[in-house]
Amino acid sequence: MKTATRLYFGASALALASAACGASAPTPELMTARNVYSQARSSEASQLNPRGLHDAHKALSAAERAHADDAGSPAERHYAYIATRKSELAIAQASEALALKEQQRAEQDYKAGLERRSEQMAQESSQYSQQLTQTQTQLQASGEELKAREQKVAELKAAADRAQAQLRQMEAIREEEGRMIISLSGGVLFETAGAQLSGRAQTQLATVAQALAAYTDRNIVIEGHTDATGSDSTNQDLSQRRADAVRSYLESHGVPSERLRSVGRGESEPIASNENAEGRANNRRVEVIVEPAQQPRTSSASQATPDPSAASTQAEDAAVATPPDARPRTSSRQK
Amino acid sequence: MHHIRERVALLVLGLTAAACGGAQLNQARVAEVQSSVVAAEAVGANDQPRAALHLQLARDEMAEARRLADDGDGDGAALLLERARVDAELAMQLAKTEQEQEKARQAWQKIQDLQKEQR
Repeated sequence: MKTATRLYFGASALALASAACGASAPTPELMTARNVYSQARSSEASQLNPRGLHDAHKALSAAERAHADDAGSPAERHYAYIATRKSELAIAQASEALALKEQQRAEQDYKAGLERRSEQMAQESSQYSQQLTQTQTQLQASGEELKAREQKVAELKAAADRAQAQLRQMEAIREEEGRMIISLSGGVLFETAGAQLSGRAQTQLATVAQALAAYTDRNIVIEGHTDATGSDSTNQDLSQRRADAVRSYLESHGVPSERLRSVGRGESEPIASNENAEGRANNRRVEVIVEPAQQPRTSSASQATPDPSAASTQAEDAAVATPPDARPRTSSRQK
Repeated sequence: MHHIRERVALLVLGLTAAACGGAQLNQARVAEVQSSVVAAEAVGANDQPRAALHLQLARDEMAEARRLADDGDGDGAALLLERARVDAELAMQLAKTEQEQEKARQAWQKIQDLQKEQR
């Protein structure tokens, strides 16, 4: 249809032009009319405004006829003027139609863009919602874990308090210069002259190990002591082995080895007279000393044998500290 | 719209009265031209240079048509009236086209703004 319309307008224009050839030269108005009509034909008007283009063609035909009838006449000029305006009108109408189409297309694109954006925002919203739920779940889990840990700490503290209370009940615990000293009777812990822990010792040391768990930042010294029965070297060796036995027990019951040190003091530090059985029984003991808080010991120092010079100094200290009536020894006493 | 009709009616009456001493103008054509002039003004033809030019041509041609009619040149007046009609019609169309093209530009601008927001 459009092609047919174009052919029709094209043929008509040629016919009009050829008709004009035989006559005089066209007026400037007619020249303009032909020119503008040609522009209209090659514009979007041929597709969007065939009716307007047809009107322009009719007007141009009238101008061409007037020119053929009487070249240069006022009628030719008049109809050419009208034809020019009709062609311009056809172009303007087509431009308006094109603008309306563009508006329509832009509105559709805008609507599609809005829909895409809406979908995108819904998707983002869903993602944020999921992340929020995840975070809330994690927070809840962290809160529960924190509660569980707090409860565990409280339980441990309560257990340590109970153990300490038990020790105090045994009247075997005292404090000196920031150190806590737990004194355990050798007669209860060991068989006579031996370094093997007795059954009762296990029960007593279990309580001690439980109490020591509360002092995770303290170093612990285990000192073995004997009475004055037997030779110094025998007593020194026996006290060391007994201190080592207690140390091993504590290690195996959760007290960190790097905080433990065992020392044999032999008979050098009596706390009572070795002249009677009761005094010697008090001197046969193992002391667990919880030192004031400091840096942990290295493993190489954990089992260090006491420095002989230090031992002699300690012996001297003990000699000074021990009353004269507590120093005499008897050869036939039990250890 | 009512206002426009009143103006056209007054114009017709005026032209009729003026025509008493000379040639007669086609009153239907006169009304048609005047309607187109008013409509062109209403869609903003005065604000658009090309439309304003044709609007002014239409007014001048109308005035010339009246003068010729007064002088008794009915044929000349009729031709000028027809010129005035096409010029007024073109002025109105040019203004309308400009309006719609501006709307299309704004519609595309909205899309560009939306695309910028999405980036």
